[in-house]
Amino acid sequence: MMRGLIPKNATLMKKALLISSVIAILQGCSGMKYVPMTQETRNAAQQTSTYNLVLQDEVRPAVNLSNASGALGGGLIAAAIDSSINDDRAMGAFSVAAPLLNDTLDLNFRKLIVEEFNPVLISEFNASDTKETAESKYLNDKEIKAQIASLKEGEAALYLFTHYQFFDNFKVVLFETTATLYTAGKAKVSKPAYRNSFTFISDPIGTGNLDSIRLWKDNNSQLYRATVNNALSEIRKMLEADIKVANQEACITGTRYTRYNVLGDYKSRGVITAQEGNRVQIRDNDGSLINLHNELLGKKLSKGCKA
Amino acid sequence: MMKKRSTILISAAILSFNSMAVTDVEMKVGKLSKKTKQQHQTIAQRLAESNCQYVINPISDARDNKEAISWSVNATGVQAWLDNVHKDVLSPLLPTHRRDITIELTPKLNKLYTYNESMNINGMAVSTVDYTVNGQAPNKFYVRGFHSKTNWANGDSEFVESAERATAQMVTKLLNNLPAICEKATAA
Repeated sequence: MMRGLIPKNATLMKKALLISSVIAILQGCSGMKYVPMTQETRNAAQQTSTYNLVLQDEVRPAVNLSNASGALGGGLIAAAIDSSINDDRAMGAFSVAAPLLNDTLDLNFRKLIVEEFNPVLISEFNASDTKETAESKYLNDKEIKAQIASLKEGEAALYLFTHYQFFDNFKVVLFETTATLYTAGKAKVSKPAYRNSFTFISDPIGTGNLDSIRLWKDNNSQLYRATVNNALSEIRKMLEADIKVANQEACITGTRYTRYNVLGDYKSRGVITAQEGNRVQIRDNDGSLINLHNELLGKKLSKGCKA
Repeated sequence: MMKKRSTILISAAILSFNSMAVTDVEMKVGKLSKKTKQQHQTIAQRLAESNCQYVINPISDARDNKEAISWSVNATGVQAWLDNVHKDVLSPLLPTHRRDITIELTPKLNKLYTYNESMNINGMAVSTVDYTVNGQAPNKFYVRGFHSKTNWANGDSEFVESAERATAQMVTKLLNNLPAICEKATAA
């Protein structure tokens, strides 16, 4: 609801709306540029400090966000309509999700993620500062810049950021980790030595909303808990494979497929690099790796592996 | 098209992020809205007419994450806020009459967080409430307070305000559960 508040300064309002939209997108971390791992980078990362960040305290519900601003070409009234509609939709989404969220209050995602990732950080990056739980504090560019500027020869800094959310009316839950590595001598936040994102989209469950939540929650939320563990394991495997420089990646075929970000679902293209049962792994054309159910696949690309 | 829009927005976001860091903002008990006051009066009346007496123990701050309530802000003084609400808002609403059935509640604040979603700041407060009836039959229920507001300037205080209002709604929902628990206990 607007609660009767109208700002006097429309420019400030526009700025606020832009910032709020972009933060939502940034938290999704989609669209960030892929920087592949090289032997030079691996050699330069002899000792790595790590920062494994999870900003969320629990899984985000699926919300079909209103975009009247887009349809009406922007403006304060359209923004106000969006705000009001999305307020109600978020409340409705949490009402649907509440039984599952309450049942999994004991599930400590920040602990699970470090248990899964720490062994890789130690074996592949020689990290000596791994924690017992993931971080909850966001680091801004200034803080990251100061950290990477202090790196000495052979030292590196690895930043991991993970978010997770339901999509498609709670039928699927998506987990995404972005890994960004800096080595000594390159103190520019926008120029990492390595960067990629790894996404796991669960199998679709139920017919949506309450039906899907009921299935996720059955038997002490067994399916949801298993999916969290499986997602973290698959993301860890994707990260491990992606940082191996000499790794020859298979190509089964080029394909169109559906994926999600905070704005909803969108079509993308890539090549299928692995297939097991009804699950496939795709190397998107932007370099990111995605593990998903084959139901999300679209048409094969006529150029085959030259996606 | 969507990807292109995301890319443009992300570029703007990176620029806007340069001056942001996690800052501490104290949570203060704000003035209750007219609507909330009316809800509280209605609940107080129902409790006064019920066959139970009520003991609500102080709400403890049992959160795993006390470091940040959003990507840019942490709320400080959460336990003090809960204590103040317990003393000044919750306790005065409970009837002082004596009844055969005593319902004793021990609430915990498990989660308190806010986040940006589209053009809004959403706030969520989650509580587990353990309770007994005449010291027997330990049970529990969950209450969630949610608050969503337009994100005017992405200000630190806006996140804390959203958290405060979510917590206030959580407290109101906690009270709302009491008449039903009493009715069940009376019928047993």
